Amino acid sequence: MFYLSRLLGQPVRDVSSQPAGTLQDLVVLCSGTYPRVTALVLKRRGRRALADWSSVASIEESGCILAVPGAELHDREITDEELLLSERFLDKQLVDRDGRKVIRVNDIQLSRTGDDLYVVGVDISSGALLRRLGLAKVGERLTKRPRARLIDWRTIDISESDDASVRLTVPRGDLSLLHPADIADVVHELTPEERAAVLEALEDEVAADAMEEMHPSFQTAVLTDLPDDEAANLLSNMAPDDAADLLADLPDDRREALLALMKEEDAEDVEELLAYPEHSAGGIMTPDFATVPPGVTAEEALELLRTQSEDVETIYYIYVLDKAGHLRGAFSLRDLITAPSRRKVREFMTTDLVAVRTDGGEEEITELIAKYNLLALPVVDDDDKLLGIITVDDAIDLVLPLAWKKRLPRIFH
Amino acid sequence: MKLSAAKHGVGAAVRRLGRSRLVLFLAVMGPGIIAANAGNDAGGVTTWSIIGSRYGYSLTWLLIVITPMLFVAQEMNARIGIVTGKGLAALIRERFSLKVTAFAMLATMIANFGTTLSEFAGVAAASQLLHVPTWVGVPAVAVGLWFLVTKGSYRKVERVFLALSLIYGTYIVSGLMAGPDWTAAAQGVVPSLEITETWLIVVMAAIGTTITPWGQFFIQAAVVDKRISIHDLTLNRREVMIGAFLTTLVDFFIVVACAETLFRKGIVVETAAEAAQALEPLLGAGAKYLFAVGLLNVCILAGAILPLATAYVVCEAFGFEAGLDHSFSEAPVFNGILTGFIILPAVITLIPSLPLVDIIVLTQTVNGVLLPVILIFVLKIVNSPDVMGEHVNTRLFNVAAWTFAIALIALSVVLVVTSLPLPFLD
Repeated sequence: MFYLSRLLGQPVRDVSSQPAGTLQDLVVLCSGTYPRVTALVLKRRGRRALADWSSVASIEESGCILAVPGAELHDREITDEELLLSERFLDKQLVDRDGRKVIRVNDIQLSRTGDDLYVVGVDISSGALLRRLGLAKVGERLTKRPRARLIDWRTIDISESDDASVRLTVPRGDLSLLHPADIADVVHELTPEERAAVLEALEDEVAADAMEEMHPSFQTAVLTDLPDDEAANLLSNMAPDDAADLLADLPDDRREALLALMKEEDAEDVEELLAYPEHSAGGIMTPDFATVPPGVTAEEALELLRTQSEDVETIYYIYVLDKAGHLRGAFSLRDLITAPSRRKVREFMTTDLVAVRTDGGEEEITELIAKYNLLALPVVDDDDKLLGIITVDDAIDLVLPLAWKKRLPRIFH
Repeated sequence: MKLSAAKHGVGAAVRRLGRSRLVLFLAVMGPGIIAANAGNDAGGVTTWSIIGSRYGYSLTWLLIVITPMLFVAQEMNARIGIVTGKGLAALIRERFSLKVTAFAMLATMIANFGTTLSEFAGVAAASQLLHVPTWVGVPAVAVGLWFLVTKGSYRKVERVFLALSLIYGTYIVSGLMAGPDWTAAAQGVVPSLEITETWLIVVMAAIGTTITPWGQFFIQAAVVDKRISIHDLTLNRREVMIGAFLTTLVDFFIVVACAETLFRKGIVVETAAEAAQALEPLLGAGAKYLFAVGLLNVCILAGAILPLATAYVVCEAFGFEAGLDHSFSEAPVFNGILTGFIILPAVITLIPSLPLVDIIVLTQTVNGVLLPVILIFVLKIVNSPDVMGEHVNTRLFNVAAWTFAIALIALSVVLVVTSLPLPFLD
């Protein structure tokens, strides 16, 4: 993961470690989803020279090394499909679809994937400004952790952008910051230090979502690199079932340390889940589900659902529990919104429910979900008390072979 | 046009052409005249009053130097604005490094804040002359300004500015009423140098108050805002020239009024308000009120433009939404700066026993020191063909502007050196 501003101005050395010039700009090819770097623009003895990507041996924020002698470098015209990244975009005014100003392009984020370097996003945070001014420390003091706010490069409308402004394809209000799954894909390619830096730079919620999307072995690796307080913060923001799975893979003493640092209620949820074997229904389920008492009307149930929607794993199934927490029935969001608003929940809920005990195995879970076309499967104890649910997406993770998860980052193809 | 010429005869066509030229000129008019005249603010009135009362006509030559320089500086920015459609801050950010931009913005904000503060000090002085308590006059003007700037549409606001410009006639009237000694005034055209700290500060302040860094940003922003077409470059140049001339004409009459009364009597004024009181025995009780009304008007004009210019410039440099037609939530930074730059200086002005006169003079000097820095940015931009195309500076403009910038830097250095308590200079 690189920031363009950190690369520019860095020294470039040639194959025999002789100074070859300083990095002035990057030439990118805009044919794919994310522009690929095709050449470096150097300032060499007061003149412009281009080093094609194939002749670049290494590129780091501390400088670049070429695989060719400096004397072989020469200037070339850039093609119609290529653009100069810094000249064209950095510091330009960013406007939304409707022409309203968003901010200037404070920095551009690049990511290494395989042998290539791609442009993935635009940093619009004021933290980026402070960083470029050499005042990163001030930023850290102002807000405990200065956050990167990365706009996905895919929302940039290159054909509509000109010298006056860089145009987005969306209105200012719904700017899509880079999606957690994409960040997860990108993070797979990083070194441990870079990985920690990226996660630290993300909003708590986004970082946690990105973690959930990562391969378990990666999650463990990432968590190992993070300092305890950061790791605990990340775990608190993750869904309890994912956090529990992750903690189960850690050494006992680290797990205890992190649990002690997590927010109390989050830690309690996770500890309950940790009590179950990892591959049983109890170990897989999440305790965050939507519930209503049987006596409320459809209208009241909808209101209750609104207050819960932030915290629950799914709102498509709502479970009806009595005062002691016994599972009495369930209904879907569709049942709820089509029911007359004054009708009582107990009158339209389904009572013959499919559920699984906490010791149910992976096969049983996936079979039940597949057979009854469920979006979520309730997990109950011997007393029929509802303990958690297993959502369909977690069930898919159980059946799909691990090899699929190690797929190449899909966003770059 | 051809058809109508055939129908109504050549005379009618020429008349029509003449009128349409006037209409065109009126349409383009605004930025140059407003920007130049806003330089004649509280600081300007104070500085030129001090010059007139202290040095009589002997600094008249300064006006002759300043007028073309004001034109050259303003014309370059107006031209950049017309050709690029971008503000000066945007071009600095895009052409120079972010560090340079941040420095320029910080310096401009400090200088502008000080200048706005001096406008409110002027309001306080004027309201005292008009027998209105400061704690009534200053807040009333601040609230009025805030509504004028944020609630009026820009077109209406601009018309108010233009109308306010006409009241500069006040100074010309009071200067003529003093019955000036034209021969003495003409003799002052010959430059005379006097390397003392006071003289340097006064000269620097006179330049800094007339050709202001914020004026450079403002005229460019105003030209861009008006979307003046590249075909109107010549018309616009004329407007800038008229603006520069009108400004220094007013300055000249301030000098005349002070030279004929105070200088002759040997009274050296410290503030513009004192200058007005000193005019009282000669011009009658009315002079004081005329002076106060004139002062109040320049302070309101500059007090509206300064917060506006600052808000536009900072938002442009960092890319925030800006403009008078945006609500607070749509353009929070813009409206925040605008409001802060009106309310804070007003509040500070009301602090008792604040050395306002010192602040005014110091601010003008800071402006004078910052000006060459801004001028160098402007010169680098206006001379790069990939920005300006065929509209780069002519050689004459470059020679004039560079000489001026270098002279200003030299003056700043001498000023800093003389004001330092260095033993080897004694």
